[in-house]
Amino acid sequence: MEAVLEKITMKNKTSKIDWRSYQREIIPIAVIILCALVFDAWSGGAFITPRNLSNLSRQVCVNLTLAIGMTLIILTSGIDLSVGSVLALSGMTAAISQVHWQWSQMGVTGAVFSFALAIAVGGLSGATTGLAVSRLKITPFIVSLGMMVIARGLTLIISSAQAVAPLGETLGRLSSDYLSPESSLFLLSVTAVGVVTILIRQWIKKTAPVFEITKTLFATLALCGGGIYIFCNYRGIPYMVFISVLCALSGIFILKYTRLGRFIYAIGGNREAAELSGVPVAKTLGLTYFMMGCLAGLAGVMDSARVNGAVPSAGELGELDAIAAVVIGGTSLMGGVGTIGGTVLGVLIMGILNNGMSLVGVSEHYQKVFKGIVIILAVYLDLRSKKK
Amino acid sequence: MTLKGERDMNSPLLSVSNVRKSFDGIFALREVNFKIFEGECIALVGENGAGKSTLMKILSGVWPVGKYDGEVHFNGKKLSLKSPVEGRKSGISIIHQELCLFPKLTVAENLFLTESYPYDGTPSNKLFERVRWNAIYERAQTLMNDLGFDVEARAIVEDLSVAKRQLVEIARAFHHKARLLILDEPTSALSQIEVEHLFQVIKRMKRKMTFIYISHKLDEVFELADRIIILRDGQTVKSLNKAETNAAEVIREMVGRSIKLTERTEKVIEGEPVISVKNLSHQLENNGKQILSEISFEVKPGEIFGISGLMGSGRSELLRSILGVQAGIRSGTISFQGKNVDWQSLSDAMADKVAFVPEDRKKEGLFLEHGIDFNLTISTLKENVIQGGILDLSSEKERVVRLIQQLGVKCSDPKSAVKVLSGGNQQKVLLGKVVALSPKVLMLDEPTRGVDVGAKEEIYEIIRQLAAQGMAVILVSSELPELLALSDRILVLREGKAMGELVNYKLTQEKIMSLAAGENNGSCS
Repeated sequence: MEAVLEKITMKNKTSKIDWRSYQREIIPIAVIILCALVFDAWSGGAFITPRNLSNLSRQVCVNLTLAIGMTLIILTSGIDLSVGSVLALSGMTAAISQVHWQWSQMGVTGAVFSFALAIAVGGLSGATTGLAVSRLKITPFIVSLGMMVIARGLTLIISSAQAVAPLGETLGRLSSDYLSPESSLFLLSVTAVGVVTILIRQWIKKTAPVFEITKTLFATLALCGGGIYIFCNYRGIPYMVFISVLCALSGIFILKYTRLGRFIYAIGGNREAAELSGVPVAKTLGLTYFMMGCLAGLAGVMDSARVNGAVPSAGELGELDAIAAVVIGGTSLMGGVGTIGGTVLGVLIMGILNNGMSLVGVSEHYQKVFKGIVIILAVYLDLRSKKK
Repeated sequence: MTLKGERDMNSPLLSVSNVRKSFDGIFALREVNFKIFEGECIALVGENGAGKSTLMKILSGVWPVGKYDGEVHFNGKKLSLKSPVEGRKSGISIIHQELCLFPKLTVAENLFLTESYPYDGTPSNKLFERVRWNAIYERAQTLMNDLGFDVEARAIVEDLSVAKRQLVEIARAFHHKARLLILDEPTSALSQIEVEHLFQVIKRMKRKMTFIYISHKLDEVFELADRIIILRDGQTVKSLNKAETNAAEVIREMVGRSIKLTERTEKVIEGEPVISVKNLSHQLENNGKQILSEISFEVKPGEIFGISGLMGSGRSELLRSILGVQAGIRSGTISFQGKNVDWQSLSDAMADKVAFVPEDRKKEGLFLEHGIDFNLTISTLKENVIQGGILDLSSEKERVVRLIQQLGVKCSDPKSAVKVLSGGNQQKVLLGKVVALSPKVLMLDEPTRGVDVGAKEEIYEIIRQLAAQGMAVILVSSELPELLALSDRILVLREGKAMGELVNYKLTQEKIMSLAAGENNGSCS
């Protein structure tokens, strides 16, 4: 038994590393570094500063949160077009609870209630979409298109098409406050040391391929190192970043270490085979859309906190930004193939483009054109890297 | 162009010489030689997997010239097709089992669609040329009337019966000046009256076209064909004139390969049946067609129960119906370990420890993009759960390695994608997935399709071992030697009905085949 295990790992070690197969990860990282350097040079050194990068990290949180859920959905070969509207609906509910129901008077309790309410509203919308997709077997595109219009309509109804502001001080802190630089340093170093220890153990026991270990090592060191540089030099880790990174880590965990994750890949990989393998397809799909809804709710309350109020038009085209990030991150729209790690890179690319172009003064109209080109280009490169 | 009435026996219309074709080193066609003369009606018969469909794909240009060895001459010229479109232009038309029509369009559009606009006989390549609808319908109706087909040119194809759709395809082939028309199992979806009507059409058209008729059903073959060409294991073994042969001879030639048969001893398996099926019928919802009727059998632990039947006999549907994954309405009773069960999905059946290996491993069985490990454990992840759905990856890995060893899957890395494995290894992975479940009943649908001989033997050995461990195995196979090598008893199906249950002792392929194909009907001529 052990011998066979070892033999298999050994063979794996000796086999040549095929760089082409890692193109999918290398290309987006290269694009990120290149864009950062270009924008930095263009803006005369204003891009790569802790302050700007910290702002950038806060700007991408909403899209990151949506894109994590969207990755799960797209992995099942589905799609959820309603997330932008659900974001608006849940953000608006939170704002109304703060302003009209005066939960803002209740301090921390009120903020927590509003926060939970937003996620509940999102979860409910997601569950509805999920039920229609999994039980009524209507195409996700259609169901979520309908839900998109419904949620937008409900937002307009409950807000009477008016902006609702300002939120209470406590909820607003979700966006404006930071973990202290000291605790950020502590958190990031502990994470780095923890992951490195685990990786060394894996390396000694040969429980994971060497290349996988190196990859994770580099990613951890780069993220934690970058995090320390940015956040410890400027106020600390923003709460929003902390929350959405937590979501990303949970997503990675779900996909890799749970049955649910396997089932998600299985359904997207081959729906018929999944059914004939005893995968609970309906349950899995329902749960995935429910999780997406909860994340859209979370994104909604984050978005409201960011602008300290809610507008009925919040999150318009948010679903498309999320889908774009997922696709740029290498997840196949056919389902079954892709990772949250890729999506994080996709979100970063979109964020850097937005932030960088604004920084150097490209007009918003040109930004749209450029972003569109990047999406098409990214998918084309991904397509090419998949071909042998 | 057509030389009517002239039949020169010295220059054949189609001559196939030394055609070979292999897939990944496995020969689908080893040595195919035959000649067909103008105006003949040839029946091409052979067991499943004898190479009929591969041969048809070569003749129709699906496998272009250069992808096979040997030569095909058609109408005196070497046939060098590069695509199916060229195949149709050359004068060879094929009517497949699944018809190739546009269901939402009218009969007339289907007839003339591949022509240049505006379809009314005056060719034009302008894309915006106005389509002259009335002219098209008139022309189509004239064609149908001339051929004596009772089909309305304005009808939408999906509203027509299968029989009428076939007539549309025949008319289209005729319109494209086909000189050789190949019909692949045309009667599998027809009622008796429709079959008779189709036969009249073919007999009438014989003067205008040459036919190759592919069928399992010997009574049809003997009614239509002038000559019968028999294909076995990728070789043409005999060409028999209808007048000089009989069904028994044809069956003998179809199955008559030398196979090393381990002499089976009479074996009685004791014990209570683990699964028993009584009066199982299955009806399709959309057209009410009865695909299974009144089938009963029972299987004991440790027994391998074979199910035989030709294509369309309902052998796969029987398994799917029991498991609740066949569309339509099931009636009858299924009892498992003495209790009546009503499985509605595979999860239900799997909860009772009944496992299923589907027929089409790429479409229904495997996750091709994912690793061997992923595929092996997807049905049994519960075994590696620490708590609340969280997986213990290292214990899963140990289990994967154990399964890979047990089944002898050849791979360098358990993480490598299943799509790069050979057919045999893919099939072993599929078996491993259900073995991991340690089922009480194992249902296998074509467990060795597209698998080379060596891997076949290994898979047989695995199946025998599983049965020896006390599993009840239900084996559906189109390959008679496989059934004879493995099964203790064999149920033979024909057109959804049980034709008999045979004990596999001194049993021959001929005996099974005569039940499956219906020798009694065929031997009359």
